[in-house]
Amino acid sequence: MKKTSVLSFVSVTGARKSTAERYLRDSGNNLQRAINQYYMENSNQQEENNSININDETSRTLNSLFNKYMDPTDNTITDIDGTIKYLEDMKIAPDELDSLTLLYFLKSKSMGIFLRQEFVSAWRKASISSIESMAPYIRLMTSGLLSRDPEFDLLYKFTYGFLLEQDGQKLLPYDLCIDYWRLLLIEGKYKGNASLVKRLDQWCVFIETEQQRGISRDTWDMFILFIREIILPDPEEMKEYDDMAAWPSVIDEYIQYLRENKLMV
Amino acid sequence: MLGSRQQDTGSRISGGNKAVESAYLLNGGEMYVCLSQYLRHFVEKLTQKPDEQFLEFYVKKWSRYTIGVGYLNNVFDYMNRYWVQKERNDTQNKIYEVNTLALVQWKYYMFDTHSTILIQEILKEIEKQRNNEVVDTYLISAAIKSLVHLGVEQNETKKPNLHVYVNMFEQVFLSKTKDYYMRESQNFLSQYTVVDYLRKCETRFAEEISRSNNYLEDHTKKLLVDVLNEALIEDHAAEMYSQFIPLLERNEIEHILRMYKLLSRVKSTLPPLALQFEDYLKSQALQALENIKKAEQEAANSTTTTGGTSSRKAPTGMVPPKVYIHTLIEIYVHFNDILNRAFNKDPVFVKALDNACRYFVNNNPIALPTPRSPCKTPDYLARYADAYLKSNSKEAEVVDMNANNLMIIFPFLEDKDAFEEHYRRLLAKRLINSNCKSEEAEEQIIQKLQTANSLEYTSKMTKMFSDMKASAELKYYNGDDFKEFTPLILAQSMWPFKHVPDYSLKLAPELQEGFLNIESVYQNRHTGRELKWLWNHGRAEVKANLSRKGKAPFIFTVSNVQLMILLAFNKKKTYTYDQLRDIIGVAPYIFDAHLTPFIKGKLLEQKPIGSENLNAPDTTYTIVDEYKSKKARVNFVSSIKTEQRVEEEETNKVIDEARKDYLSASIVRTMKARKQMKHKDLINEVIQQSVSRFRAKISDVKHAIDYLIEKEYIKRINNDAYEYLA
Repeated sequence: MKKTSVLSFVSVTGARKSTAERYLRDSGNNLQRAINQYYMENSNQQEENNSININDETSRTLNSLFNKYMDPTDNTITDIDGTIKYLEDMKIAPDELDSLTLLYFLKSKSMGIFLRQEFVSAWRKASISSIESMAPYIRLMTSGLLSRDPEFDLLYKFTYGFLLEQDGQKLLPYDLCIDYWRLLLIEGKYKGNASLVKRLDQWCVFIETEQQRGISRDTWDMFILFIREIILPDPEEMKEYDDMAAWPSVIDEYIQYLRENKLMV
Repeated sequence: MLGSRQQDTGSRISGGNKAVESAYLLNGGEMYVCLSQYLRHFVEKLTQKPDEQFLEFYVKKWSRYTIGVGYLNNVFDYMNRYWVQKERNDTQNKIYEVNTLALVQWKYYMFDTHSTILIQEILKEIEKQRNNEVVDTYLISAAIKSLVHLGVEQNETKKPNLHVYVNMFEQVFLSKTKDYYMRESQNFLSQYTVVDYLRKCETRFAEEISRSNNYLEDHTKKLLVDVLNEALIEDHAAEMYSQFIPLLERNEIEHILRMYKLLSRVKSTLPPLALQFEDYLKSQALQALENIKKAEQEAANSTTTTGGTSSRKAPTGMVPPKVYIHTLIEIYVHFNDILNRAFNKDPVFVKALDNACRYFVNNNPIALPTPRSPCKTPDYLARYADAYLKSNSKEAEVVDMNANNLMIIFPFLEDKDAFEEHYRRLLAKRLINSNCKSEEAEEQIIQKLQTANSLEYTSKMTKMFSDMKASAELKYYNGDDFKEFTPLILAQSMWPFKHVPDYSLKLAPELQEGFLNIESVYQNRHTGRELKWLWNHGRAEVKANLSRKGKAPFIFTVSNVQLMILLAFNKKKTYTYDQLRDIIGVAPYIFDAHLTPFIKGKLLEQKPIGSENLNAPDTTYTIVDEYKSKKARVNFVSSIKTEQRVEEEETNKVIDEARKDYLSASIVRTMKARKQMKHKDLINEVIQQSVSRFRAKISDVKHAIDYLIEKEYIKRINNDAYEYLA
């Protein structure tokens, strides 16, 4: 069992290390499956915990903090204005990666909205109840996510689902994806890796000017793999690339675009 | 040493005596030893005459000796049968029958001591013969035969054993032969041409085979041929290859056949030759096609400068289909002929021809004017068939066209689906315009396509014919009023026609009853089916009483839209543009296109004139009182402007869509059967499945996979495999 997986598990779920080990063992060391399983089995219990502890000090502070941001028509969730206010209070700009980390931390299901329940339980687990301590915690979490591949992948994959607006929606608008690729990869994880960033910029230009099609989850998920297996080891020539391999066709067309425009040998 | 062996034999025999104590056995033993001694002395005493060659001496003495031994054997018949037989049975030692004993003695005292010179002289004689000097073949033959006979001793039976022949002669013979021919071929090729060499080889093979039949053992034949193949063919294949293309260029079939026959002795030398053949064929084909393309462009340029009248045959930029298809066929026939005459239809070359034809039929400057455009050959081939099947083609044009030509090219098409689409579109036009020259010819082609591909391939076409038949039967019920009306009821999914809403024509009142009648007859027969009239297809003939008094009325051929326009003028002589369009009903651009021929043809007078006023609401149109034309029949349909390009694009789109559907269906079918599959396996499987319809590109298959993942028919597992989702 990999130590990093255990750490990731703990940081995501807030469970004990031994619990993490048990779930990882049961799932054959598949981090995502283990986490899903954990939440499936523990969601009820968590709710109970929440209701039991609803009256402890931290919870009360957090609940009253939440009230500042809640949707006037529904006190279990925030609305977009509330979320923006919350970010302002934390001094996190909405276009910063930290805002995405926060929503990931709060398990936001869609843009700008999160649940009271998640807010309280997440911060309780972090043992934080003051707005002043929240921002540094999130900033620390961002740098942690950026530095470890498996954890970053969870954030990356979370982003796609979080951006979907309707049930049954199969594609994300390409310009939205480009914004988040920039945020997550160019400004985030691979910032400073000039030769890789050059390729990512070219990817965004290609998607924007040539492809102009919605992005499927498959393309989104495979792209991070493509970066890691093909671009990262050899950004100049991408020698590992094989057009017979199973890359989604957008990626093949990207390579073709690079070749045709003499951007690649 | 040999002597002491004999001595041994003698003493063992006397040892045996004591045990057996038989007088005649003792006599037998003594006799045997004496005979053996005698033969030894006899052989040792034989001497060569001073002027005699050893070989000659050997053969002469051998012949005498073997005859003598024959008699000797008869004389000692009794001993052979009793003493020798018994000794051999009892003691298993080296006691031979007299005949064999004689051979053994000859071998020890003649052959073994002289074998080097003997073999040398035999080989010298053979070399002389190879050098075309006169030799006594009897000497060679007899000497070699003696080697076989001398092999008898080893296994102590009467059956000849080849060990002496093989060890003493064959091995040396083969290596000498190899040296000889390596030297000869090297020298020969440095002085003469490859063609001469081919002839030389042929002769050499014939000679060597006859030599081996004359005086070599069967055992040697195969080995000899191997040596010759290596020295004469394999080692010089490169020189032969180098002359292959020049021979092809000069069409010297006889020499190519010679080269092929020689090379085919060593199978591994054929593929490089076949590859050259294939490349040459491709380059010749491309050359020929490049030439006709150029010729056609030059012709097109010169006609446009002189006025350009003959542009109706093919759309601009197209080579006439017949020229193109016949060029393809000529190339095929030419090389197929070479295949038959020079390569005996060898499978290696059949495959080369096949590959090359498949290549140039689909990839040439005419088929692919730009690299990314879809291949035009299916379109050309369909047009070729259309010209041949159309009743209004000129006889002289089609006299050398036929269905077999079509079927020569068809198997080489990669995009058979595109051919089907193009062919069906043209067939549809022939059918609805009653342009078919012969139903038999139509059916024959469909039959051939079906045999060459599949029943499914021609199913839509077959259905089109049955729609035509069913429509003809329907007319039968249509009463007297509509005698000359030929409605066609065509199944929507089979025919390449689309209902175009822009063509929603208002039926003239005088025609309404007939149409209603048809509809009710049809609905009664097939309840629940929807009928849509395709006003953009179909023709009408109108008898127009606009001639000078006493002359026969004109007959106008018009479109449906034009028919409605003319019928309106039965009621009134003048309409404004808006009035007329209201009556007709179709979209303005269509209305204008169908109206224009009447104005150009001076049947309607437009006021004010000028094309800019054509569709002004208040422009008026008045029908002439008296129409002037030299011809009694006037066709107003042919000058309606239609967009050929639109149709071509639409055809390509239809083909593209059908391919996407086909690939998706094929992936889903495969995944449903296999549940999980590796990416590469899936791609290969799907491409394999589609080969009889079109050549699927990997990128197309991948697009289909992307689409199916998006639609959640399949999902990706482990990054490079897929799983079927029920």
